[in-house]
Amino acid sequence: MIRSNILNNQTAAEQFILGVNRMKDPTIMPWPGQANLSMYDFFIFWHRRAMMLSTPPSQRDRNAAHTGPVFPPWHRYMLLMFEFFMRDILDDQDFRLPYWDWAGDAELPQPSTAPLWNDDLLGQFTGANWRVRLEPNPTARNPQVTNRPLRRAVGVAGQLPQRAEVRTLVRDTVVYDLTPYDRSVGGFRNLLEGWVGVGHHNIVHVWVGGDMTVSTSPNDPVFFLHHCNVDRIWAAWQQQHPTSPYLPQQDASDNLLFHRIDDAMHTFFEHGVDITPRMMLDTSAWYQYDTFVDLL
Amino acid sequence: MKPDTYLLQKPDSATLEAIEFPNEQAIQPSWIAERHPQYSDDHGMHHELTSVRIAEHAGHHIKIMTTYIIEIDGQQVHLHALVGNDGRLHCHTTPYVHYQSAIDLVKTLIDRFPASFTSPQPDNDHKHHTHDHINHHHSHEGDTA
Repeated sequence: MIRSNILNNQTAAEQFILGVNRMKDPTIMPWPGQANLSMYDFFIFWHRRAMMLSTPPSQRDRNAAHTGPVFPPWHRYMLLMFEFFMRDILDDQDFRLPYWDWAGDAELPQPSTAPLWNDDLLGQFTGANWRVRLEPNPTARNPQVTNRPLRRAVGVAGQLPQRAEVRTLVRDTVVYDLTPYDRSVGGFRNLLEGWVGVGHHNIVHVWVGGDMTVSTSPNDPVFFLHHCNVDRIWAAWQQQHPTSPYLPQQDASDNLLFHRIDDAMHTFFEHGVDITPRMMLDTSAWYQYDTFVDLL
Repeated sequence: MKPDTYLLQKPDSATLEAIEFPNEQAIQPSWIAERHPQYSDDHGMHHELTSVRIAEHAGHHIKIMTTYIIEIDGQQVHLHALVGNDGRLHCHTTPYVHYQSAIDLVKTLIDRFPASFTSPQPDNDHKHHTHDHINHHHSHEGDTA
């Protein structure tokens, strides 16, 4: 099953839009036990909660999903779960998430007017029908309930990474991550996440603006297209550097709990088995990407 | 374990019914509290966080603890301004950026979430209700981004 570029696969694009609208509707796919919230809203909540778990609690750099080695495998797992619910609500077991090739849009004279933002694609989500129901409160632990339109400020701040910058990342970065495994180091993970270098993942959140810049960023459906592309870049890097292991391995310090290769990753789901970074290293049972040619 | 032996279908969403939301408590999966109790109470929002940075240099053990005490309109607020190991400021609310100063961080949060920082208004009919309104969490609509 293939994950493809949303601009090159109209069927996948139409299914993605149909699927997220159904997942967002509490009457179609409710979050069990939550009045007026949907399974789509649950994924927003989950993302925020994983972010709030400092790993370990004695420091404020890494959390259970970001700013540490688990960033790529945790998001791969999150997208996989989201994809399962989309397949269910679409009644199509062959559906796979499409990705947004933002480095392709960076080559356009005006990336903010790229086809992705037209009303027949992602542009429609800033209309009245798409409601933001969870948003951060900077003074509270949990997101708070709201009811408002989605906010975007496409292209106002930040910039989209260039094709050559992504290729350099994939080709030239040999090591997955480096001690002390935080936002200060080089290595593929931190360069991809964007705390050093050109800011790949982070700067795209900033470039989209609005709700994509806060901890409830999955409110914007483009979150899933963006992270699918981030996941594709990781997959391309894995192919390019087959002998570069995931780090840290399991004999690393307990201070790296939630980030070591066989640690259980943050989840509210019960699978009967811990879901670990190691389990996320091979995606062939679930999906493959249509191409890495633009990345290598 | 091969990838074709797990995660082959949509997980049971009924297990999510145990999540008690909305409330003011830290909500984390129960298995984390059971296996790793030291991780169970994430970021108490009733106190400001202390960032601890540790380094080794020339045979010396360096430990730097930083706590920001932030007041807005004379009242303390807990925004969880964090200092990463790179010395830059962050907060969970805007997780994809860093700040040059705590002032910049607070200004940004006020601009982005004005309803979270509503100050108590003078009200002669409610003189005895002058408690802190800043940290109350009201649902609201139509904030400007």
